[in-house]
Amino acid sequence: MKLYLQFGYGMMAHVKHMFKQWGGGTVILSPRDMDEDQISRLSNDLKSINGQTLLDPQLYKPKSSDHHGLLKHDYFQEFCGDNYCTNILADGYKMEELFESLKHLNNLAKSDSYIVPGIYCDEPIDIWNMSQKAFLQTAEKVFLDKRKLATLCISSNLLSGKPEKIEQLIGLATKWDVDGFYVVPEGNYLEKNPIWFANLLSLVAGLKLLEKEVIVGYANHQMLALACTGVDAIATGSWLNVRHFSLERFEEPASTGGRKVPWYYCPCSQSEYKLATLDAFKRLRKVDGESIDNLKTDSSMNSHYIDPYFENDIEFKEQAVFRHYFQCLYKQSEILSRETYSDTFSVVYSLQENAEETIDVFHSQKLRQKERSYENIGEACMSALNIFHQEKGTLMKRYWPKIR
Amino acid sequence: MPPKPYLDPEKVQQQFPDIRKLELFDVGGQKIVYKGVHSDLGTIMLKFFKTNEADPRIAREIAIAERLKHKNLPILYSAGSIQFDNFESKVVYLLEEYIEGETLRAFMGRGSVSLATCKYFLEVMFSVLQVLQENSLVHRDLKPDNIMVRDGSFFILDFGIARELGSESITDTSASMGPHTLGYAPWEQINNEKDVIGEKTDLFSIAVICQEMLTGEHPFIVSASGSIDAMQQTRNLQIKSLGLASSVNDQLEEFLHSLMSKLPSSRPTLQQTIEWFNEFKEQMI
Repeated sequence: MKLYLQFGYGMMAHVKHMFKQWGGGTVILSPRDMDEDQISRLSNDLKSINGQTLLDPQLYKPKSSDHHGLLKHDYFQEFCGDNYCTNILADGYKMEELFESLKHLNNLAKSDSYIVPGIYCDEPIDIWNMSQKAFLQTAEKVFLDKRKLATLCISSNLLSGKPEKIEQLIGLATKWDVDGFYVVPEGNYLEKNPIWFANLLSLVAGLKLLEKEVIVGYANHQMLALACTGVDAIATGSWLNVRHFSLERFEEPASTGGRKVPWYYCPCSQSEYKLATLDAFKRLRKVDGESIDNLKTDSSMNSHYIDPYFENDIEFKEQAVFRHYFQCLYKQSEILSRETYSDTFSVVYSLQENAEETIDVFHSQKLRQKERSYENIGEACMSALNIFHQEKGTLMKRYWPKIR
Repeated sequence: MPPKPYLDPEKVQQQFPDIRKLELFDVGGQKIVYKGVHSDLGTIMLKFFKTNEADPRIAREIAIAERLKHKNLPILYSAGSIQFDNFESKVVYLLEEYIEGETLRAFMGRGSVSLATCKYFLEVMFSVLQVLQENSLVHRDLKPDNIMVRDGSFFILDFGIARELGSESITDTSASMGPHTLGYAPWEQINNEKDVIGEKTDLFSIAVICQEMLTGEHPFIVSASGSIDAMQQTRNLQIKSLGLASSVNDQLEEFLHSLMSKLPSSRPTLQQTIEWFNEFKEQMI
């Protein structure tokens, strides 16, 4: 499992920095946050550092979108602006025009594969499948020069529902003539619902068992557990709006937002902590003559972005916490990628157990912070993994060499 | 309303003078079946469809029967329509090979079946499924009553509810339940999930039958008090252990139980199934 970066506000410098560190990488570009010129310039810069790109058309729910960032692109204007009507799906000529615009953008982005647009799915019903097919059929005609990944943008409601619905989705996707899938799961940042997570695991594994490429976008550290599905990559970003998918982000103009607080990701506990929490903990431990080194990131993560705080009490900023987050997830993804399913499942499961144990230790030392803590999602993760192992373990074990 | 002419053996005999010893064999929901001896073909089954020739299901069944050629499927000798005297419309018939023998249900009724026989059973079933797959078909009604045993071999009958994948459904697609036999149909078939039904649907049924052959009892329906109860048990799918005193037990159980997974995405494909089966089948002795 690889870690891709999901482009969002302020990501330009992070992407270049991380790819230099990693000797390359893949970023999923966001037309919402970039104009044509920026797309072109970034992709040119990335090529020189072995960077690869994908371009997410973000046509999840065109009708209600009034997002200005997206509306400045021709293809989005074509489909989603005032011209929008569902007739376009039945108008082959218009659809080809739309796809030609997207192809142009992909050329500027120097993308390695096409992400074929896909409509947000709340129920895998005929009308949704018809729109998917309309996109895929046009892609067959226009996107001839690269691999094609179908977008599966799935509602939280669907992911939290009956597994039979997920089977329907897999059943439909089985018939699509594509090289892979770009899964965009709607959900909370750190999802507490075990069914949501079990269904996501099941969906991704079901798609992987078709022996196709699968990338899960808008991911966060909770999604590291997807390693046991054989997923090819998860993509994460800086701010929360690119670490989990919410349709609202594409329905309303971007908010300027309030003051943002940097959060430090502790890979061992799979939890994030605010600077103020760490400061308080530091003071508390000082009284006992102890340090907070157990919160420091293990050297195996090869992340030194937050070292100045632990070593010299130098306050960390957004840039450092984002890069630290990317570096940790990059290493964790690498560590979780094993030769066999049994080994992968075992190391994924251990990651959860370790997080629980570490949090217990932190609690005993009076470090408490509910928000963004693994303790909120631990049960959901463990239950989902157990369900997954029971339902898919046998097949995953057998077909692991073929799917990874 | 006058009686249907195909219910009268004498009238049928007049239409088919080459067939002797005609006897009414079975009256089903969709068909009337006669058994007889053809002067050239030997023992045959003569089937009349109850609905008239405009029924698209008839055309489908004939098209399927004409396309499918396999040594473990009955041979279709001819199909056509005939006009009986004074009967307003033509009646469609199929003339097929009669498979002498007994149903798998009767065969199983004499006690559990040996591992070697089950190995052969699975080989035959997977081989037939390959032909179905090549023709984009799903049988959808594999059960011991639709499988005949003759001279130690197995023959699949009754493609009456077979589904042609990728073509328009000719059953009621809005129906909340699809045609099925409880205990042998997986949940996607009962639920009429037409986009999910595929080769894995038949694989589920084959695994149920195989476990039933080996253990003498149904793998998950336990003394159901009625169809709702049986449906509930199918939904819950608490599959019993295989419990064979054989070194192949664990491998075979894992294999069969995977094929019986509730979620189709947890079942292997036909190709994967065959490869998996080949890994251990020689131990089934």
